[in-house]
Amino acid sequence: MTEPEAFGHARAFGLLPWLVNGTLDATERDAVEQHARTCIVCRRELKEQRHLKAIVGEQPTIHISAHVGLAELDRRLDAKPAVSRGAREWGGWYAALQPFAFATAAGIALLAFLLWLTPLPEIGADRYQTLATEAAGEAKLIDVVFAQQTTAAEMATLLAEVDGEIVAGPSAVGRYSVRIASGRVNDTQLLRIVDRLAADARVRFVAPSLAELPP
Amino acid sequence: MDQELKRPIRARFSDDNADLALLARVANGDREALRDLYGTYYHPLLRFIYRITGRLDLAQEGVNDVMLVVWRSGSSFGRRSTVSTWIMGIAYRKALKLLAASRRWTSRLASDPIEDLVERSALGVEHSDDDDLRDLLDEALRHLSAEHRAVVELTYFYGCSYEEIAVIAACPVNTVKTRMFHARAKLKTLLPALGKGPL
Repeated sequence: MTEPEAFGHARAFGLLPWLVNGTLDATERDAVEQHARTCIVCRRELKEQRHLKAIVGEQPTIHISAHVGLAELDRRLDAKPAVSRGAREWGGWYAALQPFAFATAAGIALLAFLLWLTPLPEIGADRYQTLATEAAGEAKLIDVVFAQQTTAAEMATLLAEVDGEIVAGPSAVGRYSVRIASGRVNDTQLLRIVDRLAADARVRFVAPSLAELPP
Repeated sequence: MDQELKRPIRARFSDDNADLALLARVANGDREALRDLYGTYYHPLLRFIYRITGRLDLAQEGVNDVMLVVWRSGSSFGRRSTVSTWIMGIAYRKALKLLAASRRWTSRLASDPIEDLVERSALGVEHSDDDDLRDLLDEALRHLSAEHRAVVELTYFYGCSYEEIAVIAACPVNTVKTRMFHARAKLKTLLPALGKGPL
């Protein structure tokens, strides 16, 4: 049997947590144990590490049933097909509305022209921001719950105004995850969008989402 | 980070062969296999993410975020580590992101001042038992950084080697050792009672 490689104090001391949890390989384990046999500091530390491991290991696990989480995961996984079904239904509506397409397009063009003519409120220099003055952010998610009587068309219009697109939902409580898609907004801009939506009577709840953007 | 493991993970909650079989089915779009994997990993992930974020709501959300990634990326699993190390790595990144997001949008409840904790730990030595110490440790862990908490948890609870932790945290092994060194030093300061326990 070969003698274990001699470890200096610092190296052996640093490896004690993994000696205690039993994951050091045989060479390291033997070397650390050999050092600890003659080092009072490491022997004391080893005792403390064992105690710490016992305390952490005995900390109670959180007892929450996985069923609720699993149901939520199922909803999230099913969200995309649900959107597709919705899109198919929308497709039918579009077909029915096709004869009115020209009138609708003309109306939108007129509205856009009137908006273009409307003078913009003066913005103070301190509030004026460009991508050059503030780093552009990334696409962001917000959570939105619409008022019950809000129609799908109204939802679409509202979200279009903020460059938003629904990426998931509705959840059991009617929450949609909305990606502020094309804007690549920063936090300040995102808060403005949230404020804008919050001011609309058709929106019951809106807040930046804590969930990560889907790929 | 593509770091090969010298040894297989010894996580106490899973068997790698079983996980590999389930993951192969998940990669083929088998929802039943995803449910089985979910059942195996739900509580370990919940605890781990809760330990990092300190919030149960974020932990629950994080578990599903992780399993969504597993669902979408199961086919890209490269077997450079065990399945559990891969999944814990996803959980680690999700937990840090959730924590960062929650800090950005909400004001986190401040934990007790460090001095109170040290004083209570020192006072408790004479008559404290491990239950008291567990409570104090909970509090002490909140004074560590999320990265340091993760190393402590992965080492002492999940029984991970330092190489596995390096894969999970996507950092060099020396960084893992350094984080553990600092975490131990801080815990020693915060919990004088720890060094005077049984054994």
